[in-house]
Amino acid sequence: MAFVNFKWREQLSKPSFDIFSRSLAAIFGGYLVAATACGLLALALPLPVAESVLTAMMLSFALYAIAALWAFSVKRSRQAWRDLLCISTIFYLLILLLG
Amino acid sequence: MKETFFRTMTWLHTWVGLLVCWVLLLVFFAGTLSYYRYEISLWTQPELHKEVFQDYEKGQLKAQLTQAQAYLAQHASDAKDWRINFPTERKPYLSYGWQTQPEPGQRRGEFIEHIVKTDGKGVITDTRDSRGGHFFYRLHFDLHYMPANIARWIVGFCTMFMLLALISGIVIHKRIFKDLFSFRRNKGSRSWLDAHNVSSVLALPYHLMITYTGLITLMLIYMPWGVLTAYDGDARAFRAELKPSRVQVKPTDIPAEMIQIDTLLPKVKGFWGDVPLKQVVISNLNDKNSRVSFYQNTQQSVTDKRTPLIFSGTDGKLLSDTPVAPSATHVTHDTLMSLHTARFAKPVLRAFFFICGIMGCAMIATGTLLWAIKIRQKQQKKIKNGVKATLGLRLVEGLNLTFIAGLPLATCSFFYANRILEKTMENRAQWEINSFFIALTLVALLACFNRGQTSWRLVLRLSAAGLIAIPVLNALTSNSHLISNINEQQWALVGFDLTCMLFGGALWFASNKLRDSTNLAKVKQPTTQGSQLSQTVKEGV
Repeated sequence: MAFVNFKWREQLSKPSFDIFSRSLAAIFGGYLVAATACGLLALALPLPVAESVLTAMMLSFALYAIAALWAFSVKRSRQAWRDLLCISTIFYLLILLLG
Repeated sequence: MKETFFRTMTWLHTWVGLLVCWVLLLVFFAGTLSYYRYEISLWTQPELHKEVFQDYEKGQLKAQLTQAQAYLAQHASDAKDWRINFPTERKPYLSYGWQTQPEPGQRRGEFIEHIVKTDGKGVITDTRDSRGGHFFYRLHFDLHYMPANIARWIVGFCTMFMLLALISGIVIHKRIFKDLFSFRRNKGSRSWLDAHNVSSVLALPYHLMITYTGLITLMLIYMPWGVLTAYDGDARAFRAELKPSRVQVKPTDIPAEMIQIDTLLPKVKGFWGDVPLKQVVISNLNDKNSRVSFYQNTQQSVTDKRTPLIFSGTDGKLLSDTPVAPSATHVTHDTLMSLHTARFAKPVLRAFFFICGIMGCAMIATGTLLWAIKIRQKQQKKIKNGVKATLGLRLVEGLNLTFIAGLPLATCSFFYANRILEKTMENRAQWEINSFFIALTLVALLACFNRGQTSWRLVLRLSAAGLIAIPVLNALTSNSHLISNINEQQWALVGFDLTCMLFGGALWFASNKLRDSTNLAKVKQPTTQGSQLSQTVKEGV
């Protein structure tokens, strides 16, 4: 019954879990932010279509880097997830609105 | 808060760096070599070392085109397309190439290239089957033995990590300017830290540039989302708008007589003046929809306005739009791309890019060596008492030996295989590449048993000896040698031999240094710098 005895709450508050969670937030959450930002900028930039797509793609990696660093700079990993998911949801809604 | 941020960044730098450093080292190493992609290819084709090299002559164009068309019509009448390549600075020979019709299910046919001798009559058809410098070029983003799209995702992932490692490295590096001038040699791990700092900081703009532009070269794979929203995912439409000349016209299957290509030259001159040409491509041969595209040699311009002039192959009418001035976005994109490939770089600047690339390799290598040394120091007491080093440490040390010492040896064995393998061997080009990976695997096997000084010295000395002997190999297996190449001013070939010797010498020097610093892990009293380092490692572990 090791599974039942496994102390979930204790495990989740361990620093190693925090770091693991932050890493996942940085990799996947960060990519989500960059991808949605890329899609949004491609629609929203006041340039000819091909050019705004190009600009959006070129900028997206900088945004990815910022998002990933953000995930490591906030106090808790939960906050990192919250921030990144919120931002990408907003971006996604804006894409739906514009597209 | 500020202190925690600093510590998180230190942690990030250590782990992000360590996790991907070996793939990154491979990518940096192969990428650095591909700055001399054409020179390496030239060296790996010794058949071309005599009576082939020539300069671009605009007076000869007409005759060369006429002759090319006649030759191709005779030898490659059923090809998919023809390519006539004029001599350029880095590919100094005239050649007729073609692509055979692709086999069913394949996207491309086989590329065949026949090289014209300087007398204009003889044609060399039996060059050895070798990937040459293109192997290293492909290796640095397609890796090998795996599908290209998977490899590109792996490389992209590692590149993104590299970007994060660089940024966090800058954050934790409080004294960036001072470290430029501090190198303390023979101080055990502190020297490694200094070496890491110097190689990182000196070439920092280069590292940032090459990492970011690397992501940009493959951004259509990594970030296609803009195309998804703005073009409903129609990547073809996007590319067509980006580069209209790239769109291929389908053949109509109505046969038609081709014009003489050289009659188009006056029209080309009317648009471009005396700009040297690089290539003429003829597609859809003998078809109503045949096309003749002229490409200019853009030489040293940073942005590469590659818009070709496209003519109809049946009546010689200009079909491409007259080139319009590219927009700022296009110029930015084009500049970032050419910064990555350095296609504009003249010899001195190219050498500078190469040195920066080597420093990138040094940065990665010293970083991971530093980690291993510090961890070994921590475990020293236990190891003395007969406890085995931890699996992590053994793994890192093994991978260090494999990649840091193994890559030069693998490259060396690639060059030797190029010259020693039988010319008619089946799958010859693939076996050259296999020999690269066989050497790497052998070093990895060695690393399974012994990761100490002896192994390092053995591998370093092997590759040093091999590289120093490269001019001898070249002299024995080709019809020219170092001295004759100097006399004939074949600087690409001379440079190849000399660079190999230089690196061989450096590796020999390194293997000798190993003996002096047998106790790499010599611990000195930690000073400020030392405490920064031990903090780095403490955070990391």
